[in-house]
Amino acid sequence: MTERPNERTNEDWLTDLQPDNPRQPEALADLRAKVQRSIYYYLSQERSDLRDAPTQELQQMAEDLAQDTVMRVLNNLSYFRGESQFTTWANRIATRIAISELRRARYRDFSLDNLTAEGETLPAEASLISEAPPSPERAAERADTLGRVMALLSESLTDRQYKAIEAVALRGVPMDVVADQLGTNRNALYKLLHDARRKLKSALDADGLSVDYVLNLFQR
Amino acid sequence: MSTPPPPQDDDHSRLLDFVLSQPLDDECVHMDCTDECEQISRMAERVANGERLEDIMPEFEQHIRCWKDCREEFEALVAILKAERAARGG
Repeated sequence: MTERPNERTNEDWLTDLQPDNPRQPEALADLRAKVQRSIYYYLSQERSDLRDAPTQELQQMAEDLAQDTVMRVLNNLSYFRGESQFTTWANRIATRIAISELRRARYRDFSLDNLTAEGETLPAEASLISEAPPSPERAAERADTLGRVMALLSESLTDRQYKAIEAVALRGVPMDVVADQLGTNRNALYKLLHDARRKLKSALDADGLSVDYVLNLFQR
Repeated sequence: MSTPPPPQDDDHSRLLDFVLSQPLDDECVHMDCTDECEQISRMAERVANGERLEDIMPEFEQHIRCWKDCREEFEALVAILKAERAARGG
């Protein structure tokens, strides 16, 4: 990445980016250029899935995402407290925007409803992975325990919690995508999943299944 | 992609791991991963400078082990900062 010396301090950035500052246009252009370089570096060097994408396309993506980043930075300026470099903070916003966009593009046609509708999403009889095939007794014990865990999942969780767990933990769907589908944001989704996990642990306890026992049973 | 592939054995293992073995402490869960969070930016700077995340803030290290979205974003930021350092000759 070609890097220019960062000539502004955090205070300079905060001052120069104020709307009434005559230096704002220059600061905006510098910030845009800075995050655009970062995003382009990330897209072109760190993303194996974009390895074959034409340079021009990546440059255009970086330019668009940099524009979004600058707007987001301006909207959040009042939150910046100076604990990190201003440009690191801006780059963090840039990476969040870029990665979220890529996730949304990848899961553009994804629907939580389809996920459930496509059937056997939480099969209780599934055999779990192991370095060596388990003995018949152990396999039966696993199938029985998994069935109990899955039953507790569906009984103790709300529909919303169940869908979220299913998508995030079982199918590996990104949080941004699931949050969009549930009409919430990522932080609220963390809380939803946290509560779901806590509830499930309590349900396991009440059912006489210890967490250690379950994890040990399915240990690879 | 319209629908992720059906769950495989690995997925069930991940599900159990996610539900049962990840930390449930509130600090870890309520860590603010929004745009405003500078703590994460500061940690990324320190990691890019060669420190180990588990030494700086073990609870965040646990957090990103649990939440792959956060991990992906954190690692991306660290990669960018390292590239900037390299470009500056640092």
